[in-house]
Amino acid sequence: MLPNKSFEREFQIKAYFVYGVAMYICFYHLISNAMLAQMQQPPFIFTDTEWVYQWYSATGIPQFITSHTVLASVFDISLLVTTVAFLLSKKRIFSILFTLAALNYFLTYNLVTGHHYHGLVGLLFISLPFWFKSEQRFNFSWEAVRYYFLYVFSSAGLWKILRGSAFYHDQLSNILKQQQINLLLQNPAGYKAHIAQFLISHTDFSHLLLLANVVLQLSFAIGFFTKKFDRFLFWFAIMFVIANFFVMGILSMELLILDLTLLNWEKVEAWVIKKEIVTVE
Amino acid sequence: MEFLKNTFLFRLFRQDKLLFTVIIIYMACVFYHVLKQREEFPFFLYGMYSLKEKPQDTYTAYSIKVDDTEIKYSKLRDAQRELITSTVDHAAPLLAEGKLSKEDENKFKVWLMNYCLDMRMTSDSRMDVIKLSCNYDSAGQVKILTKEPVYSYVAK
Repeated sequence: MLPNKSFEREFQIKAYFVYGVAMYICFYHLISNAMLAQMQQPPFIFTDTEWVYQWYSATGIPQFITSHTVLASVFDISLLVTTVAFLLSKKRIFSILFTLAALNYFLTYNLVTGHHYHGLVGLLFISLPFWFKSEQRFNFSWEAVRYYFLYVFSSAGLWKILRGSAFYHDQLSNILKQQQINLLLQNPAGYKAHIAQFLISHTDFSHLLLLANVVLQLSFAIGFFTKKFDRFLFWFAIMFVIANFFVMGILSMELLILDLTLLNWEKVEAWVIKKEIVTVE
Repeated sequence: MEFLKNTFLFRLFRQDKLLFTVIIIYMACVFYHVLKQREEFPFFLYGMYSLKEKPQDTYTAYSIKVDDTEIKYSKLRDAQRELITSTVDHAAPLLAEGKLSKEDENKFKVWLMNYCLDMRMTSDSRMDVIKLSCNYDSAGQVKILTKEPVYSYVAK
């Protein structure tokens, strides 16, 4: 049952959506055999030049957690426990603990793979507004996360222009040669391999696709000036993720948790009440 | 001026100076790292493949076989595929160059075997990791030029 007070109601609906998607992301990692306890006690932690990774690795925490399956399981389960506890009790401490558990997973996973996977950044950032009790601070931090999401996409477009890769004719073709090599070697008859092959060999088309991607990413910059186009940007982000899956073979849906900041929450609230998904006190 | 007053940062400055300070410091740090073109957690840079990608003479891939059955990366989910391919990409050159101690080398082989067996739910016991050097023809077809065994491991 939802509270009658407007802010608390909105807070709770946002919490249901955000933590619902967060649980889906954790479930996806679970069925991917990639949670801490499922890593089979990895032998190496690939330290990096980034000082936070160096520091975290130097503490020995990631090594200690991943080498003790029971402890790793506790950290994995804590993601679920803190979520349920937060949604039931609405106590901010559980939201803070969730962010810390997610942060530990994020850093450890990246240290084990030696690859700085950005997908889970959205999960970390969008959980921050729920740390705050005051309506004003929650709303401002929620808005800040929206701007962060706009930064993610628009900066990706800008980097391609500033580094000149957007104007490099063979850029996408060359990327795909490395990115999709395993797919082309192992499953050349599949439809995704056909897409990759087509884009590698038809460089004019792949360059056009790259330019379309740059335009799509840059279009997020409009969100810095107005919220009028948020509903379009919401779908653009989904389009990007779908295209990324078919072209690059990357499922970046985890980042889509930030897409929630582009939703019109008044409409969402009206919809969930109308559909009697929740009731109001 | 009216436009400025409606901006997020202006409203934030007027109503919540602490959060304003935190966000301004974060933005300044991101900007600093943008200028240095160097990512540092948590000041992420989202290049999304923005570095110029030049064509290579050969492209490297690693094939993993468990009892002669090749692990199909395309059948794995992203997080799982990353765990295998990234660690192999990092460890295989170290193994080839003899930069790992015997103990670390063995630990890695045991780990990769355990992780792959758990994933496949089989009791296969021999693993071969092979380095493939490839290139592409004009039709976008990949061709294997050489196959070099990185290591073979038989579980005890």
